[in-house]
Amino acid sequence: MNTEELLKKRKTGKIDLEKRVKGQLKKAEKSENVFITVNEDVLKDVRGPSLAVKDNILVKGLPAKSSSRILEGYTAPYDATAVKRLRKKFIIVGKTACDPFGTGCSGTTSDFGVTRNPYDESRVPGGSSGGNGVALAKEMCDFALGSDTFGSVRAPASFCGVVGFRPSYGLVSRYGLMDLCMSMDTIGPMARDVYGVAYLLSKIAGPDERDLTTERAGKTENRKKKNYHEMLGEGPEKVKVLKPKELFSSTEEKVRKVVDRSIEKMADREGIEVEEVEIPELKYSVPAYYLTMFAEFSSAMQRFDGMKYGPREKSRDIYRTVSRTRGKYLNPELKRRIMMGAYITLKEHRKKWYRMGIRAVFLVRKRLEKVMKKGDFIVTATMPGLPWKIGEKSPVEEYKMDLLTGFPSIGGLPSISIPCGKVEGLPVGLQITGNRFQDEKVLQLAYKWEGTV
Amino acid sequence: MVELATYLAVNQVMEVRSLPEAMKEGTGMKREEVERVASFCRIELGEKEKERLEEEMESILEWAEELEELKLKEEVGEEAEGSLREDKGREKDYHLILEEFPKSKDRKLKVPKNL
Repeated sequence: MNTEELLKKRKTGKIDLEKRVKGQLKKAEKSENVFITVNEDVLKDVRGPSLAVKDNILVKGLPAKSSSRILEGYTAPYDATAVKRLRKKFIIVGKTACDPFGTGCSGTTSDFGVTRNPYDESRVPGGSSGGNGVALAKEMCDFALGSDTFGSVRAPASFCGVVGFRPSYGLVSRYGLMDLCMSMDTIGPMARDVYGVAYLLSKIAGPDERDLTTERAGKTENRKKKNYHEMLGEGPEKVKVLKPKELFSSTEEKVRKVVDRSIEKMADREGIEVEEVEIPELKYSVPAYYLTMFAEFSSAMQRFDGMKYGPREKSRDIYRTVSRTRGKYLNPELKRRIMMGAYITLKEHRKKWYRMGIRAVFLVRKRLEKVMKKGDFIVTATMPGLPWKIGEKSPVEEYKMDLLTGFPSIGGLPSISIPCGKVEGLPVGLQITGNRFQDEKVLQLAYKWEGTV
Repeated sequence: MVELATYLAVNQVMEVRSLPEAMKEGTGMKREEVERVASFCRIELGEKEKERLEEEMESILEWAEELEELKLKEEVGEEAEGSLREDKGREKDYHLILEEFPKSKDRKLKVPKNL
């Protein structure tokens, strides 16, 4: 049953929602490392379809560990704005596993156990919103709320065969989302189809006085309240999509073939125009992002010192207490990123490293603005390869897997991953990226595209 | 009572940003640098972790060096610089903290006992 049918049946009372949610919760409880917290209390009042929320987004009254031991024992004292806006119509079935604080694209590094790909358990589910991807693929929920900084909603959507949408930066409030790289962090919807993410987006989008990036964006004409799911059948007409040459040549051949076939099919059926473009700077998005993120993340993580949140390793003075707590409860990736951020912003290094990162971000943004004048959308694979075997990649090798999901984040652009086929039994995702605050156009094209698969 | 300087040293760890002259040479990551940065970040590390981080941080920097291929200064130098505030300490922030803090006397803050 697709999401549109599910919502219609719910409206007309033709579905036993309580029975459906009970079944989903049973699966969630039996699963390993998909959920960090399962919320059985929802059975007391099944007022709407089930929603899973990534562990780095606050849900009042539920533990919020961001899948890290540094936040063990912490319970969220308030709802993130996006969660608050969904409370009335959805029930929150639990908090899903992720790479701690969103730091990863494998989805396997939660401190509470390894999350596995639903199609091949020896492989990664994609991250950092890995738990969401698996929970949707295995029907443990109908909707999910994730976060996407550099691909964290789209990567697991691609590897788990579901749909993930990164909204324009500033469209959805980040209030209540734990920071990774605040200049690029977004909260993004996930579901099993495009209708599902559009429906969720309609509920969570819009200005919020607690997040100034949405307030500023809210003053433009493009920010009127939209019901994205009701606009899906409206367009867009006469579409021109751009294929960045360098990104296609850096994609594994078997994945590229599936994506190319899907583009050809769409061109035949819908008459879309396809143009190959050269944007050599796009491949620099990844190191540019990592330098910027290291600096922002290092700063954001200072608050986790064992004083206010989470466990504490007592020692003879405050300095040692903080150092021991952080040494014991931060995982290796968190330490690496925090220390990289401190290193590149040292007085003698910041002129080289931090400045280089910031400048490269500006350059990629500038190139994107120019190229988006040539066409309406950029289409690529979502991931440059198939889900890899758990533990087979080094940190830098994993960072490089953000190649295709990275540039939309740098541009603040809306971007979606939809399934477009399979290779060796594993799903392949196709990514459509549009112009900032034209989120409905991306969703409309994705909706049409979904129908051709 | 806690000295304001101690409070800031613990809570604004990233404000300490200087390495000894001996560590500034070369781009290679050295053990002393890893230890010093870990100390700034208030992260206690074991010997094996230091060894691993030395290698990993080195390889990340080598990879990020590919950005040097871009003509960044010419293309976006001024534009990007404009997004950063001037690198100067803001002494007035100290007074703001003192004013906002519930209990303080002279330059000392009163906080609940933590340890």
